[in-house]
This record gives sequence, C-alpha cells and structure tokens, in this order.
Amino acid sequence: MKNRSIGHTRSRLFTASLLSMAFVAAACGSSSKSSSSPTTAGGAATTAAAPASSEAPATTAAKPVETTAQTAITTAATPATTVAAGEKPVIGGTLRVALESAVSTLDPAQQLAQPADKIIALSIYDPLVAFDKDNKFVPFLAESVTAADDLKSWTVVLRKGIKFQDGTDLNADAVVKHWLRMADPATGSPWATSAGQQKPSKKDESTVVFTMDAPNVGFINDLTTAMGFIPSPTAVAKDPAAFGLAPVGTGPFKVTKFEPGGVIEVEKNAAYWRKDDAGVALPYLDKITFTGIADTQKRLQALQNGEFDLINTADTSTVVAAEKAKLKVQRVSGSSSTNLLFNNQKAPLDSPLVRQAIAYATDKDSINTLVYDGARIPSYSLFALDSPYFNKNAITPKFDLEKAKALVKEYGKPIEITAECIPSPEANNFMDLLKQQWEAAGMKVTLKSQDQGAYVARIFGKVGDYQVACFRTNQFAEPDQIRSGLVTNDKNNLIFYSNPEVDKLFDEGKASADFTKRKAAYDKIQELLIKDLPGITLMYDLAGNITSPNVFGLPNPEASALGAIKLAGVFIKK
Amino acid sequence: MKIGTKLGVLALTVFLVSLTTFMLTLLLKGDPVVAVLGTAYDNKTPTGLAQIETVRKELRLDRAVPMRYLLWAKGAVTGDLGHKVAPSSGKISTTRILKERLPVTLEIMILTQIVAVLIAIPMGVISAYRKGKVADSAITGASFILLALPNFALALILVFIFSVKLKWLPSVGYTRLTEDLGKNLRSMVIPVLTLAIGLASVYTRLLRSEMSATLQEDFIQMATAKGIKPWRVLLGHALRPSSFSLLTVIGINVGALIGGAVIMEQLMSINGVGSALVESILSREYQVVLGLVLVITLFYVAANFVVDLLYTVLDPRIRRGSTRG
Repeated sequence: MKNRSIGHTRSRLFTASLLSMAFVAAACGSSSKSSSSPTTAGGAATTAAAPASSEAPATTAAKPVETTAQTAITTAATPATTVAAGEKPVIGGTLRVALESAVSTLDPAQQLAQPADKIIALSIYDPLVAFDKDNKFVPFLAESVTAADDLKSWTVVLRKGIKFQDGTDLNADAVVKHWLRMADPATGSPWATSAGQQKPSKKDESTVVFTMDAPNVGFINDLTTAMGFIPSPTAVAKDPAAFGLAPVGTGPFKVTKFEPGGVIEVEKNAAYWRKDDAGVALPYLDKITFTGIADTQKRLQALQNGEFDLINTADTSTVVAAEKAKLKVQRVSGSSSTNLLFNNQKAPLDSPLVRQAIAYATDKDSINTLVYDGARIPSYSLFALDSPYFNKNAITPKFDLEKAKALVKEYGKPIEITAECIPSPEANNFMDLLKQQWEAAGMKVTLKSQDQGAYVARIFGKVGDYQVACFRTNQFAEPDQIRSGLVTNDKNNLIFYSNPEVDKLFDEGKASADFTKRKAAYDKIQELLIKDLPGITLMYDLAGNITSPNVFGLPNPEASALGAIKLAGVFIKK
Repeated sequence: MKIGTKLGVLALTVFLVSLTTFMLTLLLKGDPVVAVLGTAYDNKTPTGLAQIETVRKELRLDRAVPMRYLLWAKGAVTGDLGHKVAPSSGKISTTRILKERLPVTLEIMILTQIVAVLIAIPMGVISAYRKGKVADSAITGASFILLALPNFALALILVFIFSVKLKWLPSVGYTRLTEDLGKNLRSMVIPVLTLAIGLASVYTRLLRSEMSATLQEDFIQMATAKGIKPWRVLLGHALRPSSFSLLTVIGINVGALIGGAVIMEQLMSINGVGSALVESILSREYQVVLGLVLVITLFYVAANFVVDLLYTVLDPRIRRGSTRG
C-alpha cells in the first residue's frame, strides 16, 4: 500500500498554504466547491460507522436550497452538541489523538487553517459563529450577528457571563483588541488585510459594531474561521508574540502542555459554558493528547495498535483501508480538491486553445480508477453539485480526445508543456497519467517535481516561472472567498488571470445579500470561466476522521474545516 | 598536545563550523521573507508591506552579511541563541527548542552507544578468541549482513515485528523520561536497537582485528602460560590495549549518530533536535539553524575531547608522554 497523499501529510508549510490557497484554487477556475454557504445547506460530510462496503457514497445528497443570505442570526437555539442518538455519554477519560501534522502555534491571528491546527484550536477557543448540522450559520460565542441593510456594517452581540480560562471576562473589549491585533502589521497575521477592512468599535460591554470598507456579505463567514476565535486579552498582553505557545480561550479544554512540533495536552475546562441537550456540562472528556504524525499509514497503524483513539487523514487509500479494517470512519468529502493551475501569462498556456486542449485531453475517470481506487469524485465545476451556486450549464470540458486533438491542430504550433507537482507517490501517479493523456492528444509533456516547502513558496512568491502546477485547495462556505484567486492583480491570483468582466461580477456578488442577484453574478462568472478556462479541477478530495470502536459522539465536520471537528461532545466507552 | 592547546583547537573548530553553517544558509535559494511569512506574505497592500519590513528587520536582512553573523555570534556568546522569526512559529526561542528536544536525541544517542558497545565487546572478543572457527565466521557473517542493512529498513522490520505483529512496543512517538520510565524505555527500544545494530557490527569488526593482534603479543602468551583462565586473559589483559581504535571510532560516531537520529526521528515521529533542525532549515529560520548546529557541534567536539582524555586513562604511556611534554 503506497502513501498517496498529495500533500496534506508532509509539510506544514504546504498544508498551511493550501488554505490560503483556498483563494488560489478558485483562481484555478476550479472547484471551490461551496459545500455550505450563507445560502446553502449542503452537507460536507457523511458519517459512516464501518460501512458494509468501501463503495459508500462519498458525498451527501443535495439538500433543499434556501433563497436568502443569512445576514441576521440569533440564539433562538443554542448550538447542538450532536451526541450520537441512543448513546449515553460517559464522563471522564483521556482521548489520544494523532494528527497529520505537528502544530507550531495556536494563535488565532495565525490562520490555524490546517485540520490539525483547527481541531486543537476548536478545543481551546469558541468561534463567534459556527455552522449547524445543515451547515447554516448559528451564533456560538456570539448571541446574535446582524448586518445593516447596506452590508457596510455588522453588529455582533456577545453572550453574557462567559469567562476565558484565565478568569478574564469575555466582552466587547476582547473582541475589539483581537481585531486590532490581527490588523497590526507587527503581528504578522495572514488576516491583516481583511481585519483592517473591518473596523471594530465597542458599542457597549457586549456589543461590537464592525464597519466595512465596502459592502461585505461574507463577513459572517469570517467569524467562523480563526478570525472569530477570541483569545484572552490578558494572556495576549502578557507576551503577544508568544501567545500562540501559551494560548488561552473560552473553549471546553485548556492547554496544559505545549511542545511545539510535539505533543499538546489539554484538560477539561471545568467552568465551560455549554451543556448538552440533557443538561450535562460539557466537555465529557477529562483530557486530550494531540500528537503530530506525518505519515498517514503510521497513524492508522498506531490506531490499530491501540496507541491512539482518533486520527485524521486526507489520504484516500487510508480511508478505504480503515473501512476495510472495520474501524469507525467519518468520511469528509468535498472539503478540498486537487487542481491544476495554469500560468495564464506564459506561452503556450496563454492561449485558451491550449488550456481547452488540456481540459479535453484529461480523463478524470481513469485517474480516479487507477490512482484512487474509484473512491473519489471527479470535479468539473467551480462549485459543488449540491451548492446553490452551481451552474449546471457551465461545467468544464469532459474527456474528449478527438476534440483535444482538433484543438492542438488548431493552435498550429507544437505544444510543449512542463507540468509540476510535489514528489509524493500519489502525485507521481496522477502526473504520470496526465502526461500520457496529454501526449495522446499530441502535446509534448515534461514532468517536474519539487519538495513541498520550496514548491509552495515558489508558487506563492508569484515568480511566474511555472506552466502547469498541481495544487490542493480548501473549499468555501462563502462564494466570495474564491475572488482573491481570480481577480486581476490580487496577491493570491497565482495564475495571472485577468478578466475585467469577472472582476466586476465579483464586486457585485459581494455587495448584495439577495440570493437571486448573487447567484446571477456567480453564474455569469462560471460561464466566463469555462470560456477562459484559467485552470481546471481534477478531483474532490476525500478525507476522514477514523476512530477506534469505543469512541462516540463525533460531530459532523463543519464546512471549510477540512474535516476538523469539535471534541466537546466526544466520549469514550471503556 | 597540552590540554590548553586542545581546548583552543576545539574552540576554533566550533567557530569554523558555525561560520560555515552561516555561509551555507546564505546559499539557500529564494527570498527568506517569503518562506518565513508563508501565507501571510503580501506585497500588494500597505499592511502586507509593513509586515514584510518587520520580518526583514528581524531576519537582519537590512544589515550587511558579516554584521548578521557577528550579531548572532554576539548573542550566542552571551547565551542568546536566537529565536524563530515567523509569526506563525510563536517566535519560539532556540533555547526552548533545545530544552524540549535535545534530551530526546541525547537519550537515543547515549543508549545507542551503550547498547552497541555491550553487543560489540562479547562478540568481538569471542570472534578474536575463536578466530577462524565457527563462532567467528557466524559473528563475522552476521555483522556483514547487519552492516549492509540500511537503518531505515531495519527500523521498519523491527516495527513490523514488535509493534504490528507482537504489539509489544509503540510504533511511533516518544514518552519523556520524566513522565514514565517504563514507557520511555519502551519507546526507545526500536530506534536504539536500529541504530545500535549497525554500529555494533562496525565495533565488533574493529575489536576483533585489534584483539587478534593483541592476542599475538608476548604478555598474553605469558599470561596464558601462567595458567590464567582464558576469559580473564581476554577481558583482564587483552581488552584494554585492544580498545583504542574502538574508542576513537565511538567518538567519531557521535557525529554519524546525529545523522542516524534524524532518520529515526522522522521514521518514528519522535521530536528530537534532528527533526527540529530539518524543520528550521526548511522554514529558513537561520538563527535557529545556527543555534542548533552550534550545540550539536559542541557535543560532538566534547565527546571527542572526552575520548582523548580516556586514552590517557586506558594507556598510562600517553599520560606519561604528556607530562614529559
């Protein structure tokens, strides 16, 4: 069994980048499968306790679509704790978790976008806004979140009586300080620019009003990310740079040991504010240990040896192997995808004919069969099939060798392409197939690979020296999150794509809360993108949370979290 | 050489190693600011540019190259080994990294040397004593096979047998000595055994050839003629004069073991100083790279210094020679 992960498991840098690449993905004209968005109700995950066969469906069925953006949410219902039906929770015990990467900081100003970062962060912090089981926004640490009609200001009211783990009160000051710190260049936060465009001001002890630079319907989505994880201002003030090594939040667990790159231990926060549906105080567990183990098969092996109780993986073959071994597997699909970035400024990729030819020459079904045992789902769209923004009249070309040959002929000149990826076995496998498929259409293909750290740094550095590059991207709850990868001259537009019409449509999409208007804009964007084809998507990725049989209460992974879950409602039966 | 001169040479070695390491970091391609800022890198907005400026200052890229080294060296001499610069690293200090990770690597290295020597001494002695006989051939054959086996392959075999099949030992990770001695030793078995087996093969071969030479010496013949039991002759008389090359090689192997430890740390997901060094190189944290290399060099140099001193303990002739000057 080979390790087939394309990138998730190896380098911290790579995975971290994936997330912000989030934007890039989109750039690649690819799948920003919006598995949940303000207006959608698409599930991102299916839970299957040892399904009978490995052919379990990889995505959930489409859910009913709502027609208004969520611009006002209140705590009519407290967030569900999702305890598995019929299971009585057991209080106490230690959960041993092995994650795909080591964690070097838990500072929410540092994105915390990798699944490993996020699963630990969700234990220490509470987000202002979360997703419910239908992936709709619900207030979490906030009591309500409301947008003004012009979407130029948002009011966040906090829950009262909540304290940080160090005894500091959660109040408007804490939120304002967090936003100002993210926007401060000295912090070096990846959120700096966005936070700077959302000016916070304290209205009263528990109310913060955010003033946007421009109408922004996506602000509520930002509150579900690490931007919305509120850190204790007292702890931050002690040593702002090192806060990520001694984090304090309002969450169900507090950090008791943090060896950066090594083991992280958290213990129950006895004063935690949430209770389950039966009124039992959360969390159930006394203690959790998190260990980073980069190799996905080693994680699975260690789980089977009884060294761990829960592991995560972004590797298809590990998910399939765990299911065959009758372990409990929570499949997480469509939370990210494998894409090909095209350098839209570099010949011959500057010609739409060549980009089209590549798309027609790519046989995703055979890649799926040969590389992923048929466990993944080929992707042809910017959006997920169950997303309300999915435009079924604008999907990228399906495999058609004759068309590809014709386009190569039409281009007239010989086409020589260098395609790059990282040197993982999985990547090598599908890159080899792509080379075969493209050469069958009459192109000459050279493959190149470079270690992840250097590779990602190079692509992000926007040197522009690549032609075709593989990448993985996160997928978004909010369609505006794909903007950054596609609009002209954006720092995240790694494909050097530029179409003024697309730029204009993105502005329209962001400035409105009306679903019909937004959908019209994103539909049009998709139509333009299949013409320009600045990049293509290959496969929706398949990730999984795998547990030993005595672990219960895993919640559904939230949208845009790459499978990261909250552990407050998890318990172990002896 | 006098001890004072020796120490001077050692100090010079440490200085040259750190200077060379620093120059090597200059050869790494690409802008370190991009690597350090990672996803936060943004050269389009004023905020992003301000962030870049901050990191450039912290990396001392605004200073001349020699100044960069001197500032680092000044810190190192006063006990400040620098810290990571990336905001996403929590700006962790080299000292903290060493405090957390050095004990792990040191434990692997020390236990490996002990186990390797404990295997090599009986094997080497038997091999020399029964030279040309079945026992010698068996030991020689086995050491060649084990020597030819790369340690990453050996580790996987041991994991397969002891973790996967027998479930006796953990397949990954490390428990600290201070937390649980039993668990700590269990987590050490596979990495230590893997590294020790290869080393023991080298040590055995070395001891065998030295010892066979010693066994030809007159004083051994004399001892045997006096009717002293063979094992007393071997261990009491022959071992000491036969162990000089072994001692030298043990000292030199401290360096090789650092390389081996890096591989074992990666294979077994053990967070030692080797993996910290790899991470720091990849993330272009040159202050930390220099700090870690400095400490590793110090250990290496110190180990060899101790070996030198041990010669004088083992061989009174050297002691006398040095006092005569």
